[in-house]
Amino acid sequence: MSQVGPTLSLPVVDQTEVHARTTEFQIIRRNFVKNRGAIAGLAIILALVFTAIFADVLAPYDPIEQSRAFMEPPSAAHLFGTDALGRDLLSRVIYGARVSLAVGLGAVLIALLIGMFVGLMGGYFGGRVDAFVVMVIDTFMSFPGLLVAMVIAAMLGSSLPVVMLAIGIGEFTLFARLVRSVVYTERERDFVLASRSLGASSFHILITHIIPNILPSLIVLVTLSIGNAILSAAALGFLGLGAQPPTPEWGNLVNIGQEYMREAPWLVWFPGLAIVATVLGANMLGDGLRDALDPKHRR
Amino acid sequence: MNNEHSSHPLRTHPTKPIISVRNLKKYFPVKKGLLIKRVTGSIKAVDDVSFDVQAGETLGVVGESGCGKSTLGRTLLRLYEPTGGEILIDGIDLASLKPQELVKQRKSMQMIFQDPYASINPRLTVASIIAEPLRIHRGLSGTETRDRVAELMRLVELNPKFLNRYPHEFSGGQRQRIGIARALALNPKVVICDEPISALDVSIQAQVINLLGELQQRLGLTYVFISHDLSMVRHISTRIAVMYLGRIVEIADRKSLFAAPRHPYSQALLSAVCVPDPKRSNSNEIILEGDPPNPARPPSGCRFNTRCPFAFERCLREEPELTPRADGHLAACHLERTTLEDFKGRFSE
Repeated sequence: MSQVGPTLSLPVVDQTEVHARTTEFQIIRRNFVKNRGAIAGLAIILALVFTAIFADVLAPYDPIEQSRAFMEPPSAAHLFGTDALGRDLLSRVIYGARVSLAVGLGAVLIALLIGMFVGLMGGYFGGRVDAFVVMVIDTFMSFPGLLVAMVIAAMLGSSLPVVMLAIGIGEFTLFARLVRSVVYTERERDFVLASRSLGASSFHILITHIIPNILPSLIVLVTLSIGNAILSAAALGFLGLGAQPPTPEWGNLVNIGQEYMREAPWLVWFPGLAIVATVLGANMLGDGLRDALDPKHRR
Repeated sequence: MNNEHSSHPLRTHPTKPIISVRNLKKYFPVKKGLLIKRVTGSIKAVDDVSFDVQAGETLGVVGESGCGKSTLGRTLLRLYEPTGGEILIDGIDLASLKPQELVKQRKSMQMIFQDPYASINPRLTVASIIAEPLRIHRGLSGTETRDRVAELMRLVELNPKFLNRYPHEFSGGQRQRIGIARALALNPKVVICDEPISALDVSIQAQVINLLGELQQRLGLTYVFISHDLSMVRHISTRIAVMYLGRIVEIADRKSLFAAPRHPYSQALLSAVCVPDPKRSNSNEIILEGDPPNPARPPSGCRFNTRCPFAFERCLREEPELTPRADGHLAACHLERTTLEDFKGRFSE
């Protein structure tokens, strides 16, 4: 039997080696920057956000001013052509970025926050909390997301924040279910048990061990949901509960353009392209972020 | 309470033990029902286990799969809530501590896990993994933490240069060293080793075992070493406890247990140790018949009576207690002693 108690007095050498370190954030940034797709995605999203913010400056015409140039194909004067009321489509798409991006990002953010909270509670605490969470998720899932959104928008009016909230609540079940199922497996992992044996609180375990491990699946779902949210906003608008004409909005532009698909296909193309660019940009950005956060993808 | 302890029949050592477990129980409820779950029974994974461990010694815990070894280890640290009993570590009963007090006491006892691939978070750097206990219990600045992490890495013979690397860049043996460094970060007195080497290559096992031995010497650690590898347990343990179906059937000094086990189950278990010599066949091996009974419905009387070749009428009625024997063993058997020859006689009949 040797002496009891701490006797760790080893010489500490190589101070510089130990302290000359890169932070976790620096490692993630370096890996993100190396990923071309991620940078391209970031560029697309930034460009779109920039467009939305400076729409006044960038748009060549007033987006709701009508002219006699009805349904003109793209030309030097009207790069994206004009619509049935003679409005400049480029200007409408540029202004549309405001509503559409706000709804797309805002609604997904709301869905993410609600879904993550609900999913974390159910998955981590289990038992009765989980039974309650599952009941809530099932209740919401038994209605189409759009119907839920309609009810909320009808109750609270159709301002932009309400539309975001309505779509967010309509879609949160996807996030809640994903988070719940991943947390359910993660919390049983040995490293969570190890953390608990070190005296960690539930909060610490959630922040350090569980949330980082659900991020990859969440990021993918977020990027895929943005496009969905933009289209849901259009559907709400179509039903008279979202942005109302003449306010330009991408989903709405596509919707109206459909009627003239044969005569003026550009009316669908350009707003459609804007939506595709958003989803693609978000996706590339998300994939890059996911890989940069995953130690195994790094070199 | 202390007086009661010093006079306890299980005390085989004159000094005060660092771990003193009394009547520890861990039952897992068995639930049935689709919507409304009813508790229909319980699996008695650990059932009325008592033992002492002296400071600086290693108590090996052996037994076949499902006998409750790992549950015992986890219940000792209150990773599972005990169903009953006391866990006294340095005189403090962990089983009855409130959550906040338990967190403080966790410093004094740590665990090394079986699977080094599952027990460390793949998304954290080695530095973050080893620093986790230091962050939880605070008190160190950033620089101090890094110094301490580097010190711990050197202690477990890992190069501190690698502290910004991620677990997947390490081998199984190195990962287990990371786990050991994490367990030692708070200067624990007691370390529970839950099969710390069974997931490793045989070539690495010896290294890790030797490291554990060295650390014990250097830091005065007390180990509870859970394993099914009898030769490893024999190598590292001071004393050994043999478990069967949630109970300890025998505790004795390593040498004495291997030389002359008292309990028929210990005898059968220890006869299964492989002899690394092709010329000597393992002719003394005792093959028990049948499987261990269902721990949800253990047999009445002695739990081993369904497989014990010596079982007689009393074994079916009365559960034997762990009682001290002449040679210092504690055994839970109604018979004073059985020998290998007895076994042979029984089986040839």
